[in-house]
Amino acid sequence: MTTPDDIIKIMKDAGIARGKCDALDHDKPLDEQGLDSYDRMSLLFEVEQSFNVELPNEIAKDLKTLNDLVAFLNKTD
Amino acid sequence: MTSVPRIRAIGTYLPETRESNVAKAKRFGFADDFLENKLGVVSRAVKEPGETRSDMCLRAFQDLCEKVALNKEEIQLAAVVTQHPDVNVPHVAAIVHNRLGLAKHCMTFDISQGCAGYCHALTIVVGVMQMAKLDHAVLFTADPYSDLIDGDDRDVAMLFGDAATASYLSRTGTGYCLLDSSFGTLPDSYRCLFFDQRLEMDGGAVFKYAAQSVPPSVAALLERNGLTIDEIDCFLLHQGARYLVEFVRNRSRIPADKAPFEASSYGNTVSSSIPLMFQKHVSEAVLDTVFLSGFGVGFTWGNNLMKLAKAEA
Repeated sequence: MTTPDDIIKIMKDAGIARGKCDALDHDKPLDEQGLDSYDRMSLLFEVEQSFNVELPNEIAKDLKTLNDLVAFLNKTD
Repeated sequence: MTSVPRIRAIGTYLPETRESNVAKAKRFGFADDFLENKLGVVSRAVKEPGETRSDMCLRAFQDLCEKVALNKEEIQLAAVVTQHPDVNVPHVAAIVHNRLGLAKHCMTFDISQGCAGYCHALTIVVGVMQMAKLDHAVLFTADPYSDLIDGDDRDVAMLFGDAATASYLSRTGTGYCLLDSSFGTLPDSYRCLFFDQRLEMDGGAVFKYAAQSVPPSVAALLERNGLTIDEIDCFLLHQGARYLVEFVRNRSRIPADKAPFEASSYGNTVSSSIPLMFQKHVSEAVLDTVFLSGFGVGFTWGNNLMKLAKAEA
């Protein structure tokens, strides 16, 4: 079972959105919390690598929050 | 003709005109630190309207002639890396050949490649020199994107800069020899950078393809040559964007000071980005081993392992 904390750990390990990770609201879109397009691209890449999943654009565009990502990963488990 | 071809000097041409990205970044709604710390391109080099690829090659050649004694009669090969020739027929290299007054025995051709173009072309040119027993060659890069871009397209409007380079290769003198190369093309990826009526770029796809493909290819070429990152003096990575260079560098475990980002004042110059950085190392001839890595359009990548060869006494 993947949790938002698992995603936050991945972000910290990869140096994504440094200094912002602990304050992230799990239900708020990441781009409204200071993550830019590069942070988002890095996050999606790291998630793909870590969970061995594919996140094509048509799926990724709907994964706006941490909880969106978690729900997707738990569904594909 | 016994020794191997080496890069003796690299001439460069960066147009003097610079366009700042600051106002555009504000208009597109990017955060204050985005330009400097993420995109990395604060201003872009922009050629004059109407300035052609062959014009730019000639200017790079002029700079080359100021760096190395060159006899135009001796040049046996002139190749141009570009995907947007002056005209569809003939190839730009033939136009450059004519405008420079090169000799009748000089072979000319263009190489259609993008951001990995210098790495591809260097391997091709060295290979042709070896097979056709040529002693002198000039390899040009010229692919200015400023007249291909929609200035209101936030995906591409702030990224690309215009430049050209001219690398002179011969078999004598001090220069950098090609030790080994590797290449790749990712299946089903060619739409990531696409030009029909205007340039379109799927930045997320380019980033993902680079992140997936480049670090393993760098590691594989090092391993094939029994080398570690510690044994390479400098990595010249294609200057796609600051964040991309840093990501590839970190994934490859390359120390920051060994893989610089230098394009902040002129932008991503496509196939010219690597020779623009390499030229000072070729002039100084101090670093022993330099690793070149280009990646982008296609989606393709190419790596060159270069080693300094000193002039024989």
